[in-house]
Amino acid sequence: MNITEIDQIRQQFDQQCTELHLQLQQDGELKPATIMSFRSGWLGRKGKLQQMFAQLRDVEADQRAKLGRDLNELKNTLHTAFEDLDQQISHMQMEKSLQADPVDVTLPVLRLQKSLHPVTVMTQRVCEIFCRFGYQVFDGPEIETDHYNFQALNIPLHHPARAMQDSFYIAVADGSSGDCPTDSFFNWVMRTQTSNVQIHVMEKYDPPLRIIAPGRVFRIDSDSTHTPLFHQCEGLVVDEGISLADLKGTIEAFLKELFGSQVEMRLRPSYFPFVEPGLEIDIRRPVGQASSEESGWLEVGGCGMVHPNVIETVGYDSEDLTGFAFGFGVDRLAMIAYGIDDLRQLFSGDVAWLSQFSDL
Amino acid sequence: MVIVRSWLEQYIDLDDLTHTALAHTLTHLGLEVEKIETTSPLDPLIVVGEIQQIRPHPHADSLQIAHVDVGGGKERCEIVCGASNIVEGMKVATAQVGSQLPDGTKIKSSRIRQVRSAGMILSAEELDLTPLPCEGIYPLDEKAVVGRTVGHLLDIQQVLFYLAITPNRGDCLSYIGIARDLACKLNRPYQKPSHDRSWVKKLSPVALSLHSNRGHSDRRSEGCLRYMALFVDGVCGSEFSPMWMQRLLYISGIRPHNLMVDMTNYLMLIWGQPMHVFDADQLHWQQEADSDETEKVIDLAVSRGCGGHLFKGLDGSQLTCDDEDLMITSQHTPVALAGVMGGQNSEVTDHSRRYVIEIADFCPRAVAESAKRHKLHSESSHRFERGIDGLSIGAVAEHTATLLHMLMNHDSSIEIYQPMEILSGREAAPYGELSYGEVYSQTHVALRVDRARMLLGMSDLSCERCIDILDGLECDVVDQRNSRLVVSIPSHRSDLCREVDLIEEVARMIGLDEIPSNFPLLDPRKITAREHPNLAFYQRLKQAVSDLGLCEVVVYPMVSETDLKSCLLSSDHPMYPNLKIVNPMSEHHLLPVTLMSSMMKTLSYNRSRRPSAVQMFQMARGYYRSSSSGSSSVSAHGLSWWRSGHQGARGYIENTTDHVCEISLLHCVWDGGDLKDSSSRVTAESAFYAKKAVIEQLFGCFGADSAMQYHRVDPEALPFLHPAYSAIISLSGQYFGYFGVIHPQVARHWNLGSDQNCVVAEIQFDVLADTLDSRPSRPHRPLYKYPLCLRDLALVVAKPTQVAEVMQAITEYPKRRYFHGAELFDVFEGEQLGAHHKSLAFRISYIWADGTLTDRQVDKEMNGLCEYLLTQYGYDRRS
Repeated sequence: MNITEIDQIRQQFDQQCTELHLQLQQDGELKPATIMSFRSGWLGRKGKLQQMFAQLRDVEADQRAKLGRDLNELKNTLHTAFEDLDQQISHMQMEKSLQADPVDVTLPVLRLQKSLHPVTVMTQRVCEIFCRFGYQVFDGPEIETDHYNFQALNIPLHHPARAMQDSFYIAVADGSSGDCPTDSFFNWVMRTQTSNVQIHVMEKYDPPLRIIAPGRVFRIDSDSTHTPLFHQCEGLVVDEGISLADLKGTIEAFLKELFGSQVEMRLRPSYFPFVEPGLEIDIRRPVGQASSEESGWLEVGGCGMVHPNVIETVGYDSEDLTGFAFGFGVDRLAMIAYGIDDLRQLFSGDVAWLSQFSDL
Repeated sequence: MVIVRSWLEQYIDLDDLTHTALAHTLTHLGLEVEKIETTSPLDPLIVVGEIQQIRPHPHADSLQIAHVDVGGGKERCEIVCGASNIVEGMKVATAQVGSQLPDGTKIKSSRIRQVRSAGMILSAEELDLTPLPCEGIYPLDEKAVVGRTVGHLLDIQQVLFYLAITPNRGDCLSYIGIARDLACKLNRPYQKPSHDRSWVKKLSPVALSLHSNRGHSDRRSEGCLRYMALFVDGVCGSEFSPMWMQRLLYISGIRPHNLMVDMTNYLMLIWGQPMHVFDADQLHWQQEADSDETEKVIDLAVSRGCGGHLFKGLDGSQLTCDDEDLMITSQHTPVALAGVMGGQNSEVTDHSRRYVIEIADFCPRAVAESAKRHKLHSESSHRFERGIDGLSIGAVAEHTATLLHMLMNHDSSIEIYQPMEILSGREAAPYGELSYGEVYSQTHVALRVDRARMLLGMSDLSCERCIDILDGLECDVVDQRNSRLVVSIPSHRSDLCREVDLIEEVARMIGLDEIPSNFPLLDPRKITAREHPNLAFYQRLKQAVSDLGLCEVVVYPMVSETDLKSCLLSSDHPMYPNLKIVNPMSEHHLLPVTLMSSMMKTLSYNRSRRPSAVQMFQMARGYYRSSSSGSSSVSAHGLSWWRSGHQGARGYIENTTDHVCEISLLHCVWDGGDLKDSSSRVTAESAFYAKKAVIEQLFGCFGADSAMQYHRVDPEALPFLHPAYSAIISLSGQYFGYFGVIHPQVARHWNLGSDQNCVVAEIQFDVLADTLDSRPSRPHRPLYKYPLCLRDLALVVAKPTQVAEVMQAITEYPKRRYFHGAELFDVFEGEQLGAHHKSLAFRISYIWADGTLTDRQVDKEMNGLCEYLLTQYGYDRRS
């Protein structure tokens, strides 16, 4: 073994290495077996390098150190070359993986349909405003007795006002007796208005009162502006010396908070048996929204001074105490705020339609 | 109520008001104008023509050819006409070529049996003056100017005001009532139609009686306060009312019939007094009991107690009378349901010649009850239910007679007899001989102007202004002391009963724009009524659920039997409704105890429209009647707690209805949809666990996750859930909800596809609110000074063992000293453990407040724990 031989070996390795690199460039990959045999052929236990080191024993002592150094140098070169190759291969592999199988970035995924119902959002806004005004929020039963839904509200049994509020009557369904009316027939109704809460609160608490009561109400009705289920927010203020002027100011303040200070409103005389005077609240429909009413006024609720008959029914003194009550159609407010024209859409349960309100 | 403006102007001068101004005035009087409508105009090419010559049609016997002069220097038109009533010189409405009739027909020049016809001569029906089929051409006024448009001549274009009259203002269901309100508001006079007693001296041959067979002392309960019968002879039943009257009724929404009926309807609209016409020859005539004369009289009675009689109404309806119905009878045969509808048996026909006109004051309640009982509503019952002015009956009778003479061109063969009338509690007598004071007593109401000032918030309201307003409303101030006014209430305003009613009238006439505006302040210290804390919780809960990616829905609550069947709920299940709607709008007549079926229906609806995933929730109430006897007929199914009531929880609802309970429910649905893409494939098991994580996250928002426990479900308890992938949830030991994958059968019923893993959860959230509410203020733990020491512990346990059991055993090791917590990190099943065992691996953490734990300390406690688990529970430590 001499230096020339080592040089030859080196050249031989370089050549093979270059070939492999070429092959790698061409094919984009190398078979693991090829690399394995190449590596073991050079660096393995029976590889060329090992053989060379074995031959070192036979070399003359004065040459041995020099040749040993050269061989070690060759060994390092080989290791570096193999590292390069490995890196090259892994690099090529990564390159390849980066190019392969791009995902379809347009594939739809499960989206969160997070949204609150427009009526919920509107109820919250109404409550927030009245809470700021110092009102307390109350709730009440949805199944009510005729007394609380009608009679205590100054609507006796055959009052024509009942026709304005066609009620669902409730009976016990025991399966066996079919449609046989029980004693309580026509005594329970689905409440037709949230005004029942007025009576419950007045019965339970002493004045002064300042409450609101949002909730679901039910009437037999179905068209684009009436549904069997809808929502109201009742309000009641009872104290000494409460006047119609107080009612007017409160309604004005509320509507300005809700729709902005540019809102145009009007009160006009109407009739609800539990208030006297009874008024209806209209607002001017925002410009650009279609309106069935030619005048462009939209009814948003009713209000009035609590009827002395109601005040007396709960045992208050109607001479000392006066009060006002109001009831807003929450669905109607939502329809105005969001430009919805058909009330029935709100109760369709259509998630795709409802989720468009997710930014409310 | 539809008001024709030109008609209203017969009673009050409104020349200075535009339509909008009039509508505004009416609306601000509380007579809301819902819309203003103008009837469609007549084509201006329809003009007055004069028939100058008529000759027979050469090829048809039934047709004639009319030469019509349409003026304006135009050539005469030759028009083929089929009507036989045309004569030369007649003025007729002529539709020229190119014009369009009200029904849309376009008039073209055409050939009729080989003769050219240049237009059309019109009948009243073709002019759309009346819906009644009319024979012959409509003759125009002889003085009509040829060539003038017929639309102008007949005032075809009328302005209609649609008023929504509130139930308290029955008096405004009439032209006079509206004119009176306007007159007061606009401060000008109004005019009632002129009338006089233009009847013959002969008395109406009607024997009237009022049968009070109910034994009531209260007159009002008798049902009839006043009944007047007017007898008319000599008008032919086939006689039509004049075209102007037909037209007014027609555009007011009332179909014209014949002269007698149209006249009463016309008077009803003017006065608000419903009337009815009987064919007198169809009523029973009898010999007067106390007279020897041969003259007969008609027997007419107002009575109750006709129960069982069959009655056919004018509109074709058939009903069986109830004993409570107030009926008009003739010889015990019902001829009218009082105030609601006349009978077919005494209807005016073409052959009628003699009539009894009824003008009566029936009590609102009697009419309302009958109308409701038989589901019959008419213009008449609508007015009686709201109350009419019984004292104006005389004026109406006089106007009837005056009008009838006018309509019949004062034909002397018409005889109108002096009316007979009867008052409640009196004998029948000729009109004019009774005093009404006892039945219609004058009512007085006091108005304190101070009170009005206070209630309206108008400190500057003067006494004079109040008096002026009351005067205008015909409420006479009969006494005045200081600022206390005693007011006599006119008979047409029975709605004014209390002081506050008068204050409302003052406010109405002043106008609400003039009422000042004030914001009332309240000292919060005085408030006793404070809201229930649960209400704020509900809003938070809704927000939290929505934040978890669910869309809130609100749907109609009522469910049908089919819906429940589709959820596999049988009628003995605690979740099966026991309340129903007596008068439902559809087959959905049951009030739900669970939101399950309505949510499945909603899901099914969404899925039928698009395949995408649906994640939604609803917060609503469940309803049931709790059994008062205690022995519930409902078999428990391990779910009886669903109807346990949570009385404490529901205190805020204040439900006073006996035993009717309302529970607050939250229902969540997670459905993966039908998309076959790679991202949404999940197994039922992974769906179950994924949603369990979401539910825990939700309760975590309220700090309740640690107090929650999950329990295996008896498959019968929740039949709509998959028995393997479902759980009942409890909070601090109280059951309050369930969740799980829906049963494949339920999925099939609702067309949700077979490989769906739809997860639902429903909780009674009052329990959650109350638990949070009653929880003592939560102690916080201090920040740890020393590090936690972690140890892994794998336990081999029998396969059915639930993690919660093992966890509890670990947590409750009685000799624990440094124990801090345990977390499951692996569940392993394999051959090494055999078929009946599994391995649960926990990472257990230890902590010591006073220093860093040594291995010895931890090993000692850990070994003790292992020993305990093995001896007490048979959980073996896996080596």
